[in-house]
Amino acid sequence: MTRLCAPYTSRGRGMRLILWRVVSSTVFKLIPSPAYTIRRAVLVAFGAQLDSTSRIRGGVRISEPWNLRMGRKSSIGEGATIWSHAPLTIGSRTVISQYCFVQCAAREVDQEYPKPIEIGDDVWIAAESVIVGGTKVPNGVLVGARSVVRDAIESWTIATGHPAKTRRERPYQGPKS
Amino acid sequence: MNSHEPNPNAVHLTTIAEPPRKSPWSMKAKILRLLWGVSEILLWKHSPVSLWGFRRALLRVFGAKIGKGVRIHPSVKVIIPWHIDLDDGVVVHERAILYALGQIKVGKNTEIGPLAHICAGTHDFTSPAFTLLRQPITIGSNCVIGIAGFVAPDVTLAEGTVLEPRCAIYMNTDPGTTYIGNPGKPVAASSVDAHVSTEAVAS
Repeated sequence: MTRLCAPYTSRGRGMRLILWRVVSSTVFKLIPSPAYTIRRAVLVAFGAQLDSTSRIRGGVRISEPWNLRMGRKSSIGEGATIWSHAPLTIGSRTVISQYCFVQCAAREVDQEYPKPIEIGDDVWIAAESVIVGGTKVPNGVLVGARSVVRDAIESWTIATGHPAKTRRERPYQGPKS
Repeated sequence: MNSHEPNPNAVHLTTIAEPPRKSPWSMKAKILRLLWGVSEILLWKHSPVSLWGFRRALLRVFGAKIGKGVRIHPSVKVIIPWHIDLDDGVVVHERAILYALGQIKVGKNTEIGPLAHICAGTHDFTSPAFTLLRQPITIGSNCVIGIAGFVAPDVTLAEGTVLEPRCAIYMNTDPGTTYIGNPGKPVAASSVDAHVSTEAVAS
């Protein structure tokens, strides 16, 4: 039977996944928002590769932390949802704002399968945007609030809308990585 | 090239690209935000829906300007209460987010729909320091922000503006106009008188 709205289920339901689901729905939720170090330590214990200067705020839901990599001084805002079913790489100085949805999965007619996402350096993904699986967000891109990123975007541009389209170049006074 | 010699350009680049992290919040603001965060969990979130007056009083304690008959649902997320100014008869529906890093001023009898996001905070994306900007949002009277509407920082919604569901608005709006889509565009002029029903809901 074809289930059009079947939720993605992880293959290899190891002890790690079960343990993470228990921890993430209980203890992890209770860590106060500014306690970045504790939250980072929990995620690192579950195999996330996080730089010691990265920040993840409270209310962030991460489905599989062992797929998450974050560079220097990057941050994930309050209440973002990270479905890291596939490797998710976040570069340095990148900001993912509050209530964003990063979904490392893509859907075909009858099934959903994991697809990695790469987010470059100096990227800002503004509030409530959605990043669809399989996309690469190059360096310096500014994704406007409430955008849906599905297609390729050029680096150092501003992309907004649904679907996100490159609108103009991003003004930036600094070295472009 | 001698690999032991530090590359001066590389050092220079790092210092420019990564300015020191300075918190934009004063100690007083941090303590107040912590206090509000605790009261939000203990008093706000789980308060019975019908206790509109209690939530109004709680916001006033934290320095919000709340008019008469304002109704805010307990599932609404208010980031900084002392930055909001709601005039008489404003209704804020379920799970709306008042992201009041800057001032949010809402006029009489305006209705903010469920899941709406009033986002009064942005960053200076032209500088590597990525400074937090707390820009105000002004919403006029008799406006309707539909389900899951989004209002960007530094935007003024004129009197009687209507945002269709999921409309995201980044520019100032014209009075009595309906907007649709992302980015929001005007549909057709709608008269302010057409929103008498809003007042009925608010009273």
